[in-house]
Amino acid sequence: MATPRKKRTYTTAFEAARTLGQLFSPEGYTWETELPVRAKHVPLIIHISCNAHFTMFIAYIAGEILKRLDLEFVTVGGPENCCGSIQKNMGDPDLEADVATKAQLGFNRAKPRKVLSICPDCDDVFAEYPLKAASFVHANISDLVVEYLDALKPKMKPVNKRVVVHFHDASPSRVKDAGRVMTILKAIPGLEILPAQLAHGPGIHCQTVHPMAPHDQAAMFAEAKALEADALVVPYHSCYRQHIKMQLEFGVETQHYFGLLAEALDIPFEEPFKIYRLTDDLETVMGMLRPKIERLGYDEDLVRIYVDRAVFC
Amino acid sequence: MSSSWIEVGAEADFAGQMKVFQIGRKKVAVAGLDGGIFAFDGLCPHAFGPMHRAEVDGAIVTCPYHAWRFDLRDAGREIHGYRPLAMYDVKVEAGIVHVLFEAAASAVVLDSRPCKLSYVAA
Ligand code: FES
Repeated sequence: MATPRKKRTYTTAFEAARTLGQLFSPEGYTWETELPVRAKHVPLIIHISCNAHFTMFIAYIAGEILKRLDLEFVTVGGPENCCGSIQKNMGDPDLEADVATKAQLGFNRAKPRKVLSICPDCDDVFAEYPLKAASFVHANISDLVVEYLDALKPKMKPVNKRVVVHFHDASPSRVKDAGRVMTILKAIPGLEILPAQLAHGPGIHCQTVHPMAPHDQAAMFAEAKALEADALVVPYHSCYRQHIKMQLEFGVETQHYFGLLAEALDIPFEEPFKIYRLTDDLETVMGMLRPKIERLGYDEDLVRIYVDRAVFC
Repeated sequence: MSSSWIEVGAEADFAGQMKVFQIGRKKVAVAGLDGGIFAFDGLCPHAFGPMHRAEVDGAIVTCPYHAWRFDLRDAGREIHGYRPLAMYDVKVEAGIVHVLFEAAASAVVLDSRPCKLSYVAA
């Protein structure tokens, strides 16, 4: 049965993030949607933006890494911390700056020294509308790992995998991210980075605004397969969302670099999004989610629409 | 100060429309939807999102900033359990809509848009 698709609106975009964030999270995993006006000082904030709620394992692993480093942090998420890119993409650019500012004012309540976003869109929007007199520097989450890489290296165990590294270089910040991801991967013992030529992604990230063209995507995976790669490693959740399904055709897994980092650091984690996408069947996924949908009291018909749009994109 | 009924326009002009007025020092949104006319705070209680640009599903309005969703038929209750949206009493007399405001003031329309739907078939 085909799902009656609903057009993307603020309601569907944000409710999908809100709902799937809960459904796709590890049991007991929580995040703050609003920091109190007089929040306790916290040096680090992990920021989960809208579509990053579909791949919550990334924020979860980031938190586990910070715990292993004994660093104090708070995780903020929910639509309440949207960077403003949704408003821009919905055709309301006049709302974008205000939403970006509100999010940063919210972070500033805890007077952090660094705010780390998972999504490159957030990186770009916050860079475009920086908060005057912010206590914090905003950076991509890869920045934090590189900052503490020397402390993490002794904790790593070998990950014996052959990988192709997918990257984007459409802007200076994407080039920096790609460099940091490569630095992190090179620090993981046992990991063999293969000399691929076709792993370059379009635009600033895959999937949403600049999806990788199907023939380029197929060529990237064909090359990875020919190189006998175990995995294609991606820098962003959006690339992860677009490329996972290719495992069904090419047998090469798509992994976010945080997944490899977690393996190296012995952090147990699950990837529900990947499990769901690889079923290749919406109703199978709905059957898997049904107990949690019922327990959390969600409307199954709406969840079906959100899952169809987010997972089978 | 005693409250006052403020005239905001002809009933017919609100059908399927979201308008926002400056009344005294407040922004007040007035919308004709779900078979009624509702007046509510023009600024969202979360972070002051522009409520006249809300999406509409029956009598539930969704703020365009972060999608807090308020039920106008249930005193502005936020459906996820967040803070409610302040509402104003409305009366229609001889086809003219009035909003009960905290003091005598005039209403100046700032913006008017057709209601956008929360759920639209693709
Ligand atoms: S300002 Fe309305 S939901 Fe945040």
